[in-house]
Amino acid sequence: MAPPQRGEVGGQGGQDPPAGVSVRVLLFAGARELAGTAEGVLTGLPADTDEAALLQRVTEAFSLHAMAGTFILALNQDFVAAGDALRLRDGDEVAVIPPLSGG
Amino acid sequence: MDKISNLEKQIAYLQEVLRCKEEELRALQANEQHASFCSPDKLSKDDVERFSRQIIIPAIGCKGQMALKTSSILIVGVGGLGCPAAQYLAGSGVGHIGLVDYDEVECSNLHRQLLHTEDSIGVPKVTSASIALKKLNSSLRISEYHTQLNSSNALNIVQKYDIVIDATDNVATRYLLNDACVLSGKPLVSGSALRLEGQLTVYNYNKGPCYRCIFPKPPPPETVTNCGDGGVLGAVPGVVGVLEALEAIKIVLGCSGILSGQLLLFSAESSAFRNVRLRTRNASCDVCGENPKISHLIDYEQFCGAKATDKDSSICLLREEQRINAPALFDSFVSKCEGLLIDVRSPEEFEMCAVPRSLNIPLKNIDEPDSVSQIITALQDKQAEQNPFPVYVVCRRGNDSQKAVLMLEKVLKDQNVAVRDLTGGLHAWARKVDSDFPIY
Repeated sequence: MAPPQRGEVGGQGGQDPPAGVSVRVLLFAGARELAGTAEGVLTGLPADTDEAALLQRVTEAFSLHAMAGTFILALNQDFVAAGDALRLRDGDEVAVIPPLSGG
Repeated sequence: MDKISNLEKQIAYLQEVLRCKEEELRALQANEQHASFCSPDKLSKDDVERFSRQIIIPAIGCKGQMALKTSSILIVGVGGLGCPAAQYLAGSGVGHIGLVDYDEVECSNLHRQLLHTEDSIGVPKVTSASIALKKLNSSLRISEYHTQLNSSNALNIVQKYDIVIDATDNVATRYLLNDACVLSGKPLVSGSALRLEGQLTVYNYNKGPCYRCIFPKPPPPETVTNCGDGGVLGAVPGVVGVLEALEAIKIVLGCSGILSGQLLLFSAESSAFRNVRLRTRNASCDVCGENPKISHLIDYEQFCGAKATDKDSSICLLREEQRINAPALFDSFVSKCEGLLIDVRSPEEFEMCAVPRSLNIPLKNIDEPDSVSQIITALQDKQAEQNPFPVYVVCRRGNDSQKAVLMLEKVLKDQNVAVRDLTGGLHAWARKVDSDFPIY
C-alpha cells in the first residue's frame, strides 16, 4: 500500500562514501501527489545550510515547482522559517507539508 | 411504478408528520424541564445524570460543565468533519451550536457524513443534522444557516459565537473564515481530510498564529484535490472531526495544551500522528500582523483563483468540432462499432464502471511512450476502416477529457486520426444514453 520510495543521489559524482549529510524527506498531501512518492532521501547536503538552500534542493529533487511558496518545511518536526540557518545531521527528517483543504 | 411513487409520497408525508410531532414533544419536555429546575447558574438534575461521567473528571467538574452549557460554537460545513464534530459537541452539553452549510444531502455523502441518513437525501444538510442532534440532546439550542458563507454574511454569523470550527472543504472558505475570526477575535479550530490523511490545528488562539501566518499564499488551484476527485475514507474525517470537537471543548474549559502553534498530521495509512511545531504569529501577516493590509473581508474566490465550493466547475478548452455529445458517441462507438474509446480516469474509477470495449489510459500517463504505443497498436488493428479514424476520449465530467484531447493531438499527429471528447463526460452518458451507468 505504501507508495514507492524515491531516492536521490545528490551531485557527488559517484564519490564513495558521499560527502555531506543525508536526510529523510516525508511528503504530505498534495506534495505526495506531485512527487509521486510519500518518502525519499536527499544525500550530499552540506551540514551547515539555510532554509533557502534546503527548500531549493527539496523542490528540485521532488519536482515541487508547481506548488512553490505554498507549503511549509519542517526539520525534525520543527517549522523552518524563511531565512533560518540550519544545521543538518545524518538521518534528520524533513517534512514537506502543503495545506490540506478537503473535508 | 405508480405504486412505488405513491408509497414513497405517503412515507415522506408520514415522516414529516412524525418529525413535527417529535419536535412538539421535545418543546414540551424542554419547557417542563425549565419550569421544574431552571437555574441559569446551576446544573439541573437531568444535567447531572446525563453528564456525570465527564463532570467527575477533575479537569471538568461542575464549573466546566456549566461553561459548556453556556458556550456557543459555530460549525462551518456539515459534512465529513462537521458531522462528527457536531455530534460530540452536542453530546458533551454545549448549549448552543450554529450550523452553516449551503448544500443538500447526496447519496455519496452517506459513507462519511453520519448524521445524515438515506431519508435525508435532498434535504438541506443543516436541517438533517439539526434533526439528528436534537434527537441526541433535546435541550441543545441549534441555529441553522442554510446559506453559503461569504464576505457579506461571515462577520455577522461568526460574531455570535465563542469559537468557530472550520469543517469546510475548500481553500477560499478557509481563508474567509480565518480572516473573519481574526477580525472578530474568535479562535478557529481548523481540520481537514483527504484520502487517508488529516490535518488539525487551532488558529488565532491566545496570540498564536493564524492561517495566513502559516500559509500566506493560497495553493495554485491545479495542485488542490477535493474529496470528489481524490476520494476520502470516511473514518479519516471522522477522526479529525472528533478531534476538532475535542479542541473546542478544551478551549471552553480553559485547558492548557491547546493545539495552537502546532499542526497535527494524521496518517491513516501508518496509523501515526505527527505533531509539527509551527511558527509564532507573523508580525508582517496581512491580517493579524502589526500593520495589517486586510481590515475587512475581501473577495476570496478571486484571491484563491478557485470557487468557494468543492464542486468542479466546467472548463472549455476545445472547439465544437473537437467534441461529441453522448447520443452521437453511442451511435458511432456502440451501434456502428466505429473508432477507439479512451477512458482517461484513474484505474480505480475505471474498475468501478466503464463503457464496454473502452481502453483505460489515465490522464497523467497519456503522453508517456508506453501509452502512446498502446494507442497506436490499438489503432493499427482498425485504422483501415475509416479515414480519418475517430478517437474518442471520456472522463467523469468532461474536463480531463479535454486536456487529454489536446495532448493526444500532439502525440498522434503522425496518425490519421480525429480526436474528440465526450461533452459532459460519463455523467452525460449516464443521463442521456445509459440510465444503468452509475453517476458518482
